[in-house]
Amino acid sequence: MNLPSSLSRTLSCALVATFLLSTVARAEPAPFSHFVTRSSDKLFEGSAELRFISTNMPDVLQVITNTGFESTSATRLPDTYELRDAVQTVKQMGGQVMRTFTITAQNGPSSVHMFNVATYPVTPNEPALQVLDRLLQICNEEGIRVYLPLIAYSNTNRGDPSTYGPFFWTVGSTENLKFKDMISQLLNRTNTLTGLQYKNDKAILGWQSGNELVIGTDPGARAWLHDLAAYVKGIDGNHLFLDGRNKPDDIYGLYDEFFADPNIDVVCYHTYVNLTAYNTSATTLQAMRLYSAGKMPLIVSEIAMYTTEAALVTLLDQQIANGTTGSNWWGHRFRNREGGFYRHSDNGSLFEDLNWPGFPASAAYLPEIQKALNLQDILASHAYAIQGLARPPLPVPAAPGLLSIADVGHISWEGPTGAQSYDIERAPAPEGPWTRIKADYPEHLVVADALFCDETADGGASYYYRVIAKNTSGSSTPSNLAGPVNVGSNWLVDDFFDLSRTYAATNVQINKAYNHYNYSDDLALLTRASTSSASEVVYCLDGLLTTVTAYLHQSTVAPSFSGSSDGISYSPLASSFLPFGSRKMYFATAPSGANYRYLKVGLNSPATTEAVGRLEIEYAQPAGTVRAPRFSPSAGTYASAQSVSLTSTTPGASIRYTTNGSTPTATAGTLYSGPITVGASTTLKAVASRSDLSTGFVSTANYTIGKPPQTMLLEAENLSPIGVGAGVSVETDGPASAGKWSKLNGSAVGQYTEFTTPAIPAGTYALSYRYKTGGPRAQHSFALDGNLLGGTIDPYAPTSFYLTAEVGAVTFATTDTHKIRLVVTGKNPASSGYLIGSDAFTFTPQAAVAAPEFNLPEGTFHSPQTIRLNTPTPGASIRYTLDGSTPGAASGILYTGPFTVGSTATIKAVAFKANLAESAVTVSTYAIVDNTLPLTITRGGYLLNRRTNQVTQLVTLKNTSAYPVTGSILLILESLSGNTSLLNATGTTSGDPYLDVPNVSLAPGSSVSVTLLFANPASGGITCAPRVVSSL
Amino acid sequence: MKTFLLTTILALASTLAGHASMLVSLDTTGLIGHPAGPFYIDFQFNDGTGANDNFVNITNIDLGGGTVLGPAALFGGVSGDLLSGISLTDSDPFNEFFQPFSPGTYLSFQLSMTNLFTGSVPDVFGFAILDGNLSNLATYSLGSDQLLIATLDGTGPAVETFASVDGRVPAPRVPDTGNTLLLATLALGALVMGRHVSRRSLASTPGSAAP
Repeated sequence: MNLPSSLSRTLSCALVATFLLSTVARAEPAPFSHFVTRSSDKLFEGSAELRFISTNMPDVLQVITNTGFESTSATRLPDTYELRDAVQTVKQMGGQVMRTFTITAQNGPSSVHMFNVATYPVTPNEPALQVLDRLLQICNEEGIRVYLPLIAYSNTNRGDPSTYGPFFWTVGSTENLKFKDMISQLLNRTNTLTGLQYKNDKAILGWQSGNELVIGTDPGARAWLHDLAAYVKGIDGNHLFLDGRNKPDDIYGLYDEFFADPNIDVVCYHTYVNLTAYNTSATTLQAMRLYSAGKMPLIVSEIAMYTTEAALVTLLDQQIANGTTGSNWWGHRFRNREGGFYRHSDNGSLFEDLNWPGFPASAAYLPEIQKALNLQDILASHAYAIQGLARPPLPVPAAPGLLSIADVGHISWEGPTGAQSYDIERAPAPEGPWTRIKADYPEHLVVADALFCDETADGGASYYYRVIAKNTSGSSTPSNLAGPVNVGSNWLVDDFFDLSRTYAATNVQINKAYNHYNYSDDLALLTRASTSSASEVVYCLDGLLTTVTAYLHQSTVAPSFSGSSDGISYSPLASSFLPFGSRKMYFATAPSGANYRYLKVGLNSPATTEAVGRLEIEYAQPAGTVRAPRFSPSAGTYASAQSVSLTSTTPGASIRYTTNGSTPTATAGTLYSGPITVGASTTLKAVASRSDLSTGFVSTANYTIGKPPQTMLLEAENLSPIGVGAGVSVETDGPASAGKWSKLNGSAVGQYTEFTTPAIPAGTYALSYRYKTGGPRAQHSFALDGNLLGGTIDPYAPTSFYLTAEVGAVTFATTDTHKIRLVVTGKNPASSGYLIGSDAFTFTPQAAVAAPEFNLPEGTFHSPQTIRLNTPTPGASIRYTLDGSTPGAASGILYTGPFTVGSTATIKAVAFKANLAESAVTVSTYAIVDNTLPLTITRGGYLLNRRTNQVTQLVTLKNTSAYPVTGSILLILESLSGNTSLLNATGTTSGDPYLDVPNVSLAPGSSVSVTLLFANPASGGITCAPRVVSSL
Repeated sequence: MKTFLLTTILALASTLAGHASMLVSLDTTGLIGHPAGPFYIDFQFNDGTGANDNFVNITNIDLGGGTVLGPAALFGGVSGDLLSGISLTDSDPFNEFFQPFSPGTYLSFQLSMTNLFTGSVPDVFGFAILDGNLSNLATYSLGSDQLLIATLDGTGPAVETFASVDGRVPAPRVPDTGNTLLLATLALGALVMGRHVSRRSLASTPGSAAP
């Protein structure tokens, strides 16, 4: 993605919002009939008691998690679409009363805060206040009430006491005057949309003193609260004044003077902590209710998000039972006008705010998604229950608002409230026909960018798109159309929900979590698995690389990009970056004419905390070609057998694959019909084809099955050293590996020390030997299991230090223990003795030779086949067998050139190279089927018929066997001369015409004749070689 | 069901001789005054595989009261005409002769040929009558529209005769000498005397030839 496209999408949001406003019929405002009033410990709407279970919508006054990858500010003002989604969310869940977060203020000018309190009088910011105008208008239309905290106890971003100044809590201070001036301007404001003054707007439940205020026993703070309540009530006698606290201990036993304050109507607390004397939120609520009963209504302004489903049920049941007036869940985040939802997790809380109404289709991806669905079901059912109602089904979603589409890699829409998934459809023209290219797509997983990438778009095509919203009650009508979208580029967008889009991955892992606070709440990330070795992912494209963009979180080190045309040799791509807060966007462009089909992305961070959130790859797919198959799981090393699925995003394409290294074609290779079990290390090659399109690229995936051998560092002193002819001892020395070494206190040639290794897995290893030098050192040999390795080691040196000798490569056929023997063979003339100092032995696994590749896909053939073998490892040799045994380094047949398989055979081949582990076994079975029928062919001469201008030839087929020949008889004319053609051919096979002799049953000795009709050649005679088979 | 009857009389004799001869006669009454005329007598002798080693001679051509109407057309290894006799060799893949004639009540000629065969496709001789458009009269010969086909397969030749589909021309007749022993005797005699040996073919009839 690039910045212009981002700008385009931003502009398109506005256009679609205009579309929605102009086309979606809205109910006329239906003002509430009553202000909400308080009597004793209850609230009333007219004569009816008002009780509610609802939620917080913290961002309706100011969005604080606008953390799209290319967003330059996390804070912005919500628009009408977003506000309506927030209000309709409360309505759909049966909430009745929404709580906002605090009135926003900043000590200075700000485009996203409602007041600049640096001045006195404070300066209103009209655009931000008009957001509240719009919210109240929508609340009136939808029948939802709202209450608003006036100040946050601690939130410098939105505005708290520090924003006003140090004497905020002092009645009569400048800060207090500014705060009151803000309140006065707010309550007396006339809504620019409804014409109502806020203080006269019945959609407002009341004004809350603040968010999580801590008053305690401080006389100044308590006086401040009395003064504030009186001030608010002095301006606005229509609305309630709610006192907003956090900890119940700040209220319990301390509130009698506030119960008595006629200006305070409601007491509120949050459930993040319980009363000291109680250990659950439900028992705390019961105690708080008993404390306030008969004195003042009680509202739980925030139900902590870190509750279990069972605890939430208990709490809400308790609320309904004990008469508590209201509660608001913390919290919900509404939909984002650029697609999807805003998300928000609190640092350290490990919990994420909810997105309505929960998403069953993706619940399996993370357990928290299922929990979020459960929590919302509990909230909604209790929200209706407290009103004495049964929860109704979700309304069928309205049509989504599809945003304009700049390219097929970035498709987004404004979802309707209550939608749980989407079907995405595509058509070549506005009138259709429409093809569903994605079903049940969950928009909430993609957090920070365009929702959907049409990976199935064909290069050069032009499409229209539409989206249908769905939930458990049904499907919406289709959205507006977007298009025509010309597919100038193809896109592969990887949000790293898994590694299925990668071609290969090394030392990486998917980090998925519901509450990625440090990663802009991006659900799924790609990180290094460990920093001890290189990490990279490789993509194999259906076309040629154009651009790549990687979005990284917490990035301090640039990733590396490199491209390749063959997947073997890579060239680095120069990259640039743009910073976006804690994120960085790295991008690179392939050089013109580079023809890179493979892209490698290397992660170079020194930490595993740096993460790739999204990778966008732009490439050019040749027009009219089938999309190359993809493998799932992707290529890599796995501890156990894998079930590998192949898919091509081209509808109707069939896939053929090979496991023997040969290249499949549209007609050769095994036809894919279901997941392939890869039980041993295997190279899969696959190609997709469709009759009306050109066959696409061949995809290759290398699977290594089995835990790879690990480097084994064996301390000599731990290998049960023995001495023969001389004693051994373990010595301590700081520079020695692990601080110790083994000494053979030798005195003569022939003495030796021997070590026994633990079991070492089968494989090929490079063996190195670390020893200690010194003055009295013996020259000695090195033998493993009786076999000498390397030359004589002379550890003599005037001083002591440690050296490492590479003694050679060893191959173990089985997992077993081994003996290392060091024999004194002499001494350097300068040496004063025959000591041997052994420190450590290291067995380093060697890379394996690439597996042999066959020239021919497995299959059934009707004639002998020529087999050629190849190994991509230069200098490697290949051995093969035809008897089912596995070739060894000295067994099987050494491949020296092409050979012919004349009958059905299974060939096993292994590649070998010195100092490398032997390759995986490649197995290939060729069924040579003799389908030649036992019929003799008697041919007549060629006769010209001038009436038909054809040359005829009578052919007689005679059954020479002792058995009847029944069924199909196909007469194939191989090598037919090019000056003619067989006019009565039934078809062709391998380019040869054939004639299907009608079904006959030829008794032994009987015959059938057919006339071949040839086009009269302009010159020359007709030649051909007829053959009779039972099937093609 | 085969549309013709086939016989390989004189097989033994022909094998011994590598040479065959037969008198072919045909009732052409049905062609007299036929509007599809003028008609052409057409012979073709085509190479199979192997060496160019066979030839055909056609002599004693008797038009049964009819006349030759024009010059002959010759293709490939062909010489002669209806008046002087015709020689065809397998020098080319396709060797053909045709010449217009006015039909009489019958047509007869002496057909002599060598019969060597070494490849997979034999040389073949065909006799047909073309109409005024140089189109073969349709016969029951399985697509080739020949009245007589002689396949030089080295063991026969195998001779097949066919009638015209419209019934105006019956299948040519080749004299039936009665039994193979006699034919063998005649063949031996022919070897000695250098004379032609006749053989017979059981001609198909329109009724039996119908599919």
